[in-house]
Amino acid sequence: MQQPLCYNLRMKRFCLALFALSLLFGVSGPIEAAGPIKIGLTLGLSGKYSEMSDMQMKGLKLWEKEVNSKGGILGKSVQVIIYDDKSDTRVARSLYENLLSKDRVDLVFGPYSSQITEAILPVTEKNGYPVLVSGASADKLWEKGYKYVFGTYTPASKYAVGFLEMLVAQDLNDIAIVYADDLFSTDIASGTRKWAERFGLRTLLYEGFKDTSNFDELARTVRAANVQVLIVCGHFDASVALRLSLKKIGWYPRAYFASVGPTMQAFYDRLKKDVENVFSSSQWERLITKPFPGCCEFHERFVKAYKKEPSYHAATAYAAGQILEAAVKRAGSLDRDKVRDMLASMEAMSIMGRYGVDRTGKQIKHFNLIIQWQNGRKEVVWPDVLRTAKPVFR
Amino acid sequence: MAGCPQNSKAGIQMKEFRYRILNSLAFRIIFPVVATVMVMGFVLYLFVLSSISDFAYKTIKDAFLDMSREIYSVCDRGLNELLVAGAATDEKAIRIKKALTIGMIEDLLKQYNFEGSITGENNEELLSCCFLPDLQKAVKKVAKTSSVESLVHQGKKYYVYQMRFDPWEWHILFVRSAGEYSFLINKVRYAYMATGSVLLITTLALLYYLNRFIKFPLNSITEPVKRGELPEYRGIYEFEYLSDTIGHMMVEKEKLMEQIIQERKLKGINVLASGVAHNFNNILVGVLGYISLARMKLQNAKAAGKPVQGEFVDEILDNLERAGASADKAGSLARELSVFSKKMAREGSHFASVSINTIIAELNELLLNTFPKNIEIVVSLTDEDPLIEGDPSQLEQALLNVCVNSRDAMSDGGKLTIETSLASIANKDPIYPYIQPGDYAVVKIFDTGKGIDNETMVHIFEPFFTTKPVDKGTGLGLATVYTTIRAHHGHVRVESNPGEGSAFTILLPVLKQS
Repeated sequence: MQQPLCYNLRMKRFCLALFALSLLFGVSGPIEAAGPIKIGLTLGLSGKYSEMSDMQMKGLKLWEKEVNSKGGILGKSVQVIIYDDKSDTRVARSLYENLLSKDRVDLVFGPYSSQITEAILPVTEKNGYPVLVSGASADKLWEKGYKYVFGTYTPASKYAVGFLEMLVAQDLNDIAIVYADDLFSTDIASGTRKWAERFGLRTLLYEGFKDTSNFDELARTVRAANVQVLIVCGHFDASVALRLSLKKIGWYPRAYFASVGPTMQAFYDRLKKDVENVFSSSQWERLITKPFPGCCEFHERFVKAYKKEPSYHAATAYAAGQILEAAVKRAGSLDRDKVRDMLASMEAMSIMGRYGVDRTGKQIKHFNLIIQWQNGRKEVVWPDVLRTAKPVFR
Repeated sequence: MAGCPQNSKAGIQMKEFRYRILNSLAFRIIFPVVATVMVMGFVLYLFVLSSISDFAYKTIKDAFLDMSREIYSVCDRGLNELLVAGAATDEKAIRIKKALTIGMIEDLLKQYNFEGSITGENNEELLSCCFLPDLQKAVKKVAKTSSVESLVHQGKKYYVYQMRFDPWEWHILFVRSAGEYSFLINKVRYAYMATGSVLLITTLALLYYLNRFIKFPLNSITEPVKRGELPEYRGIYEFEYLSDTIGHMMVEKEKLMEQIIQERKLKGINVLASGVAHNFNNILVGVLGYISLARMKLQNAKAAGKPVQGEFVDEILDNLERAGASADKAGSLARELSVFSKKMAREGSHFASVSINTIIAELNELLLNTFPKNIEIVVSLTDEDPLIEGDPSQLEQALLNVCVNSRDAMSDGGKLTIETSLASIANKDPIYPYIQPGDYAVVKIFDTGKGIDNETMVHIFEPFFTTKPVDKGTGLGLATVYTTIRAHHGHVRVESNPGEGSAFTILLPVLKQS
């Protein structure tokens, strides 16, 4: 129906006034920056963390591909920018400064390892970037008063809790704890000793070592302590070296637990049949009982994409993507303070289980699995309800 | 005190300063406002802070009760799981469950920012979460089961709660620093500091405003008035009106004063003329009388053909001598009038720098030699020996006139005291209306004579006014004092009551040191 002329004129004036007001007061809302959402991080793609970092990169790239195939986040595609920090703290710190100032990324993930994470946190904290830490678990990272650091891993101090519980059940009360002299390994060691005391176990040996230490000597020291259980708190190479030293001296405890390494296929590849009965702690495993949504699907897609088994490092990196995606969606914005507040307060479910942090940002909802190599296979042996095999003690 | 005139001067200045501050317009207006706001602010401050403290305590108490419920629930769940699993007597299962429960309690305490500990049935420590050993000891002393207690440890305040989980015989303590809530109180403090600053700024602004819009206009009016000039303020309407009105009143007063002075002059001339006429008439009566008497005697002798010789000539000569004496008196009066008129004309040709103490000392010599011995003369001179500008002979004559007046008032003897001192006149003083602010030498002459009544006091400095017998004085003594002192830009003031003696205070401007 034709409107009267005066009505049209009035409408025109009204629209013009509205437009002017919207210009004046910014009613149109914040204008989103053009281009994809850029999320940056560094990984030790070369150097001592290359095995784990490669897995993390693959996990993140898989998440990037999948989230973009579903339309991205807040209507924008996602671009994950990854630099090689060469497993070096100084390189990582410099690269994070570049990510923030040159790449001008919207958000960041944490790098791999507690030491490197510790090195880059002052940069992100100073610039108000929330960091979802997807490759580090040293408790001390959350004891420095940072406000923008959020964990996804079970903290290092709780890595061996499930294993210690099994020792109680098996009446294995005398343990030795040896640990590398890095932030992450010392946190595992001190946490394990504390929990061992709670469980009523006796820590007969508590000794540190360096990467350059003589592991044969260390193995003999452990044997001399007359313990039933050896817990090694260190990284991949130390876990392998000490296992080989035990073989060399011809002594093996009733149980051998290594904090990092045994979850990797590379561990098996290095030790072959000597992996047998080695325990470890894992942030994630493929569980056919499907306790967490998307767990098996991730495994399938990963294998399909990369033609190899994912370690928990890949899964936790993928899960970090899922958690950040949920935080941004719930915040409804890329505003870093809003995302930070959401990460501090929300609970979420990912392929690695629950996400939820305490007031310091430390992860408190997720729990680790205990795995053991049995007959050349990695089996989940704790918790009981999720286990794929019973634990074996010599 | 004559011994410490500096202190006395400083004391007077301080008193004057205090007087001026307390009576200043700004003080009178701002003080009540600021005092009221301060008192209200202080009361409000206490009230709000105590409310916040109460709120903080209640919040803390609630947090402790919530935490105790949470912890109990964790313990209770652990125990139930053991029971449901049929492992209530399984020692290993109990060990595991207890350890896991302790871990969960530790997480809870950390998550909600508590410190705490768990001790077992044999008093063994099962958990110490962020707990410093010395604080733990102090806490154990004050902790009471199911009650929030407070303690101060190393200057910091803490709240403490103790609970028990009886099935496992656990004593669970948890502690939180009161500092967790200090931010609230600090916020109030900051708010009050800001309010205080605003109040201070407002007060300063008010002072500026008062100064700019009240004090300045008032000064613009009062300062010229103090100088005897017409105020010509232009600005705020009310003050303009006040300025114009005062100016108008001053003009009117000036006219009135001129009128009064004119009348006084006329009266003075009348008094002078009548005094001169009266005195000269008295003298002329004597002159004419004796001449007439001599003529009459000579005419009678001529008519009688009596020869002019012998005693008759002596009689005639006596009459002529008496007429001549009266004529001399007239001459003397004429000379005195001449001196008075010269002083009236403010003859200043002999002015020089003179010491008032020296004048008094010379005067004292004269008095001691000429005054009756039944009059005690006491002289007290200031140590500062002030110099003034003047004619020493005129001043000595004036002071002598005052002393003579006192002597005549003490016909039965008495005490005459002469003191010198220094005084500072800061403002126009109504007691000394004719002199400008400044430093003055003060000569005080007081006697123990019969005093002066009010009627006499009004005319005391008028020429030819006298209470003495006709042949005792001309009535020009105190008039000469007045004109001499005024000619020296000073002032003379008399205070007296009948029967209580008289006190003459003479102020003379001190010569400024160049």
